[in-house]
Amino acid sequence: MKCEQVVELFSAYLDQEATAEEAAVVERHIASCAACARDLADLRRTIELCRSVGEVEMPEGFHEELMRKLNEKSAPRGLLVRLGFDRLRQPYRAAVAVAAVIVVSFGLTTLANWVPSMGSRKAGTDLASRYGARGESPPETVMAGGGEIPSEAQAKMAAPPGMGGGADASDAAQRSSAPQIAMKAPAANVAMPQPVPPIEPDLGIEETLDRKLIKRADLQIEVSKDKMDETGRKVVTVVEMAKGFVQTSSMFTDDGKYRGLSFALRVPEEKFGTILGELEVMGKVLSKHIESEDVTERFIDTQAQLKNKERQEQRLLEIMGKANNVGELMQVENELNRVRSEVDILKGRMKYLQGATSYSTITLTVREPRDDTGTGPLLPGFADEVWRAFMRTFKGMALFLARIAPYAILICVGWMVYARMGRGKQTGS
Amino acid sequence: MPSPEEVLVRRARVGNSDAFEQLVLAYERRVYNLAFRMMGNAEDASDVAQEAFLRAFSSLSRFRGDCSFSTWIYRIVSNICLDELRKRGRQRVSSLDEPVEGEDGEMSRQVADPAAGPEEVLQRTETRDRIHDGLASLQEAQRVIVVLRDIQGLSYEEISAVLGLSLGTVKSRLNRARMALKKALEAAELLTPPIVESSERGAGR
Repeated sequence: MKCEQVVELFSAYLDQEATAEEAAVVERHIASCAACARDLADLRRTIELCRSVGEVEMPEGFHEELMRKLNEKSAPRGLLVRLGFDRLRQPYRAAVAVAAVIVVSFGLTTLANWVPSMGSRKAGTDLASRYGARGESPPETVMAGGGEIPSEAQAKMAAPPGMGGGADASDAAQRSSAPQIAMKAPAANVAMPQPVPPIEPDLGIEETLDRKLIKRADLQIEVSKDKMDETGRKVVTVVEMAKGFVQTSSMFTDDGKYRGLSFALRVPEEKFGTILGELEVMGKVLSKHIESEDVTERFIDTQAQLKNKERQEQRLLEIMGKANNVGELMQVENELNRVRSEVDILKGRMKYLQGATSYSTITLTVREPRDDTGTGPLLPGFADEVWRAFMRTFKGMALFLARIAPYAILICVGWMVYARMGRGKQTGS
Repeated sequence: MPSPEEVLVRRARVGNSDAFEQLVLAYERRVYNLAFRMMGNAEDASDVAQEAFLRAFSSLSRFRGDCSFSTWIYRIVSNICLDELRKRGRQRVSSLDEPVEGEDGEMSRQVADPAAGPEEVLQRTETRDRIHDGLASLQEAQRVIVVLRDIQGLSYEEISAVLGLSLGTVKSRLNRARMALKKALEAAELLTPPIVESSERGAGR
């Protein structure tokens, strides 16, 4: 290969940026061409010298001067300057600024009132569809441990309970569990589930033919704002009268606006339906969900296991009496310990199942009406009216400002870009 | 996960001047040095470097982050240098024969190495001056590529991104630039003087 072609590769070769082939070409050539070998050495030396010059210090005050220029450059804001804002005297400036803010806020508030009103209308239709297609009647979801609900009971439940339909609803609720009993224990011909007597570990099989059901209900009612506290008290009274108890109770606010109470109530299983009915008549039912889980099988299994283990324990005790030496005794005792801990676990499970079946759980949520214009009594007096209007507007404003903040930032950035470009053009031309 | 630098750039873009100052602190040395080698003297270098940062600041919103900030700022400063030098045309500020104004101060400050004796310092300074002059004698397009590669230590890829050239162009132009620099340094007697070059070169061809 010719010298000048090889020389083309020198630089990349020295930087180790040449391909393996190119490197081989260079090495082969310089082995035979002394002039190029020297050229390459010189080039290497050139690069080394060049690298050796290193960096120079910046002149004193370079950074400070640069930052000063940058600050000057970023200080004036195009729009205001162009509008002649900077030529106004100080008090006028403030006045103009305040006026601008007021005008803009007013515009935004108008928008804000317009936008959420659309939102709430939508929410309203959502609610309506959620509460079922049958007018006022709330949907009832009944899941009954996999059992099929006879059509008669279904028809009963489907009947619209209406506004004062608390009793109907509770009836339906009870019926929802009734088919279970009717199916598995035809002899127990009852409209109301039989109260289940406390079960001893050595309970006979025939007694357990009663279905063991864990019942849960989720109920949402709406009461007017002023009746909220009263309702809370009434709930507690009703539950305690029925020998139930309030497991948890809490107060919450929705959207920072609507107060609500939420309860987890435990009531004796046999009073489940009645109490549910009483709760329903306290306000307008928003939603209702009843669920019962059949744990009969689990109950019987646990019981049988427990029996076995207890028998085993008995036997081990007998064996222990016959033990011949310490080794055997230890062995039996270990086994006994194991069995006993299993017995404990099973007893615990029995206890849980008993508790869950003899006490049903009702989750109750009490809410205020969503719309102020609805059930709330009108505030008397013009001043209140004004105050409320003011607060509503203020809230709307704050909300809307928060909502548009990201856009505002975008617009600002956009403006800055525009202003920069504009200025760039000016300086460029 | 954005790098700390990306975070800085993003903050600077929305007008955070502290963030921009951080970027300035990180790059001003390199930017100034590139400008210094390109422009040949401290005064012009200072002007150009500041102009580069001002332009970077005002067009930061147009920086889309498709290259690193360092590539971007290098691009800005090299463009300004090339524009400025083109504007000035042939009347270059520094040349081989004339020592460059204000340069002595810069150079000697940099080599103030306590370990080195005064003579050595003088010699080294002289060498550096001569290399600097050698660089100054190159065409702008060649100078920028040598400075980016051998003084700033950029990779071929980075150089191609900064100058907007293909890798192949970077390679060949760098080679030519270094060859030209080699010639300049030979002339300045910094390399071993050529002995019987012409006859051997002739034979090689």
